Amino acid sequence: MAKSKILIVDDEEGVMTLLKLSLEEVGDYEVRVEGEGRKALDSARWFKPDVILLDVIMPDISGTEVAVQLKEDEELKDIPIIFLTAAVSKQQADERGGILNDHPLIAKPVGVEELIDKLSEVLGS
Amino acid sequence: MARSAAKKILLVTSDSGAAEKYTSCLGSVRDPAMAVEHMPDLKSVVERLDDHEPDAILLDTGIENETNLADIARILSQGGHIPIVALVPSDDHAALNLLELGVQDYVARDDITGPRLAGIISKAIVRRRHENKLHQEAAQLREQEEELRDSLGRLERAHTELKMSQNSMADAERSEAIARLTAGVAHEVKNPLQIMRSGMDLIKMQLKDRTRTMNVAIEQMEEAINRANAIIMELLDFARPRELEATVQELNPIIEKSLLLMKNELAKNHIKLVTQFDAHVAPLRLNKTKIGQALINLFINAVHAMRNQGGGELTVISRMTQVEVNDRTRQFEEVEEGRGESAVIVQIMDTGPGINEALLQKVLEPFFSTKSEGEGTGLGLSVTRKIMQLHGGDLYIANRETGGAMVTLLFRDFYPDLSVVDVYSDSEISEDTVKLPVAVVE
Repeated sequence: MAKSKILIVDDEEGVMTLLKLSLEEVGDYEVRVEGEGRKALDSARWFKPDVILLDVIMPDISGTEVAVQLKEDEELKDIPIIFLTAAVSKQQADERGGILNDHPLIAKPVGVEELIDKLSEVLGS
Repeated sequence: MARSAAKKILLVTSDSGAAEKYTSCLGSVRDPAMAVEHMPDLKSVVERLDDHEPDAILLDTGIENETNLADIARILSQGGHIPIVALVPSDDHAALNLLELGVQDYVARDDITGPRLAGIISKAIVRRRHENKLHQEAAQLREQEEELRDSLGRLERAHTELKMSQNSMADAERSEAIARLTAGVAHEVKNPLQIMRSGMDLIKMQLKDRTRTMNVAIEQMEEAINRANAIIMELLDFARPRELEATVQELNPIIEKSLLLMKNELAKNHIKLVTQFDAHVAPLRLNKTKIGQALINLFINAVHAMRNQGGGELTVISRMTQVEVNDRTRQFEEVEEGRGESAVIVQIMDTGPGINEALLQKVLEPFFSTKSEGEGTGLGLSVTRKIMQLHGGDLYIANRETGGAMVTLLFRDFYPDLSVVDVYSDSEISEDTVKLPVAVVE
């Protein structure tokens, strides 16, 4: 079975790198990272991820804005998005029903196991 | 020089002989001429005054007694602005009393000539006119003073209100600043925490052959990440939106349920629980989760206060009462039925060491804590108070006379007009709501 492809968009170098490494360590994921929100669409276009892990608060363009652009793009609109944010606590994320603008929302810091659970849920495996 | 108009004089005497004498006496006077009208008694004067305004009253005080004085006083009260000249016996020392009453002048009955009497009357009239003018001016001054006092009162009230709104604006600004700061700090701290968490995950996965020491280190580091995150969560919770969803709920079951969650903690610390719940407590419009959280915060504080002394007693009371709340001093007083406003109060009392009087007000400020490091962030009480304020109520803290601390939760309004706006329960979160940390917080 082909590895699931995950695109991580986050302006925090360390977050991106370690999430990539830990996901790749655990399982069948091929992970690419993108540090700038505005480049997320281009990255998605050539990488064709199965799911995008999207930071919400980024300096150039917000994750929610990136999500809107993705949804407006014919080619990319079906890629599932999971928001990953440092701006709300886990409790607050849970109170939102773990949803932000129709996409799943995970509060940082998140452990690799919880992240994989959420990825599996979204990938339907 | 033109002659002035004749002065109208009411002559009051029961003695018709005297009346004739004085009338003719004054009749001889010109400039001013005196038109004398005779009244046989004071009663007729009182009646006459209703439709006739003399320039002066010439009053023969034939019988000097209490009744007479009272009658004179009555005339004065009715026609106080009309000058009265009294005709008195030559040796009458009581004449001074007449002056005290407000009679303008007196003249000895036997010592009279027309010009002299006319002169006295004329002077009395002039004096009275001046006095009346003075009275009028004094009255005007009093009126102006009254107006000034009113304006001053209004100014003072406006000033107080302004001050209060300035204070609450300052409070709001401070809260806003704290909220911004909190959201910013939280965001900055949670990213490094994510790095540490992922790093720990990686280390655990890759480092299969770990020594006991390594395991202890990993465990401690994970614990540290969790603790740091817990503090951040508490901070974010403190800076949560100021509006919340409220439904009509019975209060007592919420208290009972919160106490149930404390059961183990109470037993472990040898704390006896005493409850007195008033079954007549009216239902309140509240957010069950938040009130539960507030109560548990307070129960935990009480336990912390008592556990170092090896136990104690936690008393929880709910009741309907009447209160008067002073919003300015942030104090409340229970008052008797019929005064103040209805309220529900919940009191949580411990038998711990109480709170240093100097710190009583401070304990409600954010980030203030009397607990040892690691036990609390100092947000518990201020969060709890904020929850109460969101419910239109407040939190008060005091020391008990018998020792220990007492926290009172006051619900002033059974159905406070809370707007049911909760961004977190709204599936249609707008872009603005999530773009910035402060928007998320707000």
